[in-house]
Amino acid sequence: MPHLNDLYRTAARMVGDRTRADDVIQDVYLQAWKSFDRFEMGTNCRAWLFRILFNSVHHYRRKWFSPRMVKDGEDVLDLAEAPAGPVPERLSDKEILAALDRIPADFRAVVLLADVEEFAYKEVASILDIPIGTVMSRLSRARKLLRRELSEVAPGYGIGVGVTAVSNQEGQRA
Amino acid sequence: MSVIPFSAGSCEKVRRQLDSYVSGELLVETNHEVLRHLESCRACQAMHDERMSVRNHVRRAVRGEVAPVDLAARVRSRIERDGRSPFSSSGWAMVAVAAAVMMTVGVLSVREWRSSGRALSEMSGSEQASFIEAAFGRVAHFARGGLGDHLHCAMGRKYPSGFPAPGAVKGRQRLNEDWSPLQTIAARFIPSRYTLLLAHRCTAQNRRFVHFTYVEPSRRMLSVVVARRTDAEHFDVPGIVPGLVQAGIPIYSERSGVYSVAAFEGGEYMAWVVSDLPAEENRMVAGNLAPSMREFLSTGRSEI
Repeated sequence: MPHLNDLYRTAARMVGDRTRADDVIQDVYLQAWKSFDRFEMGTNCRAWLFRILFNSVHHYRRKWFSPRMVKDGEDVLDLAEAPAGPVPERLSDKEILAALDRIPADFRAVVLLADVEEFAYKEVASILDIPIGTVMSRLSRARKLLRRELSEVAPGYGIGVGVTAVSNQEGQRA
Repeated sequence: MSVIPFSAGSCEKVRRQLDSYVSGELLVETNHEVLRHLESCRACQAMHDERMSVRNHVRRAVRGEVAPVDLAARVRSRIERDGRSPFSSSGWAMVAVAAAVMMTVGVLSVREWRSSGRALSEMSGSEQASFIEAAFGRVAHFARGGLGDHLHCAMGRKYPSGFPAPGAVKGRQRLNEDWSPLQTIAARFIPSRYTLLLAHRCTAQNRRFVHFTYVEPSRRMLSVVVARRTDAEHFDVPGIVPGLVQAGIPIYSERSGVYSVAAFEGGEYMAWVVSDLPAEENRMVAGNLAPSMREFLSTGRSEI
């Protein structure tokens, strides 16, 4: 099944839990199957599937997290400008994922689409239904935030922090 | 080599562009400017490297997460349970999604999607991998060309809304005099409920072929494809027997998922009929076409 891995890993990061990611992915393919008449032949099938994915993610996040947490705004992110130390060269995947899970969902989405899935800004804008300028500003801030998070990772820190950490984090932010 | 004077101002300008630079989103000229600046400015280069390092870390970590081996099977059973039947009112769309979605993994998935053979979930990781790798290999070699062209050209095409309304039909586009008589031959033998949608020469996946796409009122499609026969495309394979012999011409057929493929040889060419008709009916169409088409193909032609 094409793009299944790409969609799954993105879903896992956005909903923070493998079982939920599993549910989301099933929904995505079912939606795609049902609404294929709305897909324009010749356009990018992968981007279309990601668009459906983020609609589902949005729906699930509303269901699972309080609205306030879903709408984590950009004003909380002045911290991103704070000076940070160097990013350690050796970081475990777990540490990196935990850092990614700690940044707000809107920012995480842009990093996942632009940096991991390598969509062009234009496609990211279309998938998330936001202006390109917003894609650029979110990506820039997200990278700074990530840099700060990663620079704070000391040896040993983050071990044992898996994907489930995200729900705790959402809770704290509320 | 020209020396680029950089001041605090130019650093600031470059730093504003760094994120877009890392994403490969800058115009060529700007990209070049940033690149030249980075070559000569250690501070900006360090900022750039850090962004790259963060991006690479994240990319590696996220990509390390792999979907559970049985997720694909769960998705399929969910669709079987909650999706509509592939041949309901929007049957064409269903087939199209299967085609478009499956093209990337080959024909096996179309078969997989529709049939309840051994589920991928029952296989080990390495079995799965080799199963998928062998996707196209499961379809007899002679059938692959026509089937691939049908998926690529007929199912993967963008059609106007309201398709197949009158007017959507296109004429003898891009078929030169050498090949256009084929259209008349085909028209005589294709069931009358089908309308010609497109007649053209096409190049895809290193194949050049003549392709006629037909559509019937319920939007089911049928392709007639002709291409120069490759060395790999022959019927001299143990276990393969013709499904039909029409006027001395053996017609070989193969079924893959919802698709029926029938093929026969004509001179240096191979001809295919591909559709979602039942195998027997599809083979009959090919059988009806075969004598005239073979006669046509056996005489000298210009390259497709």
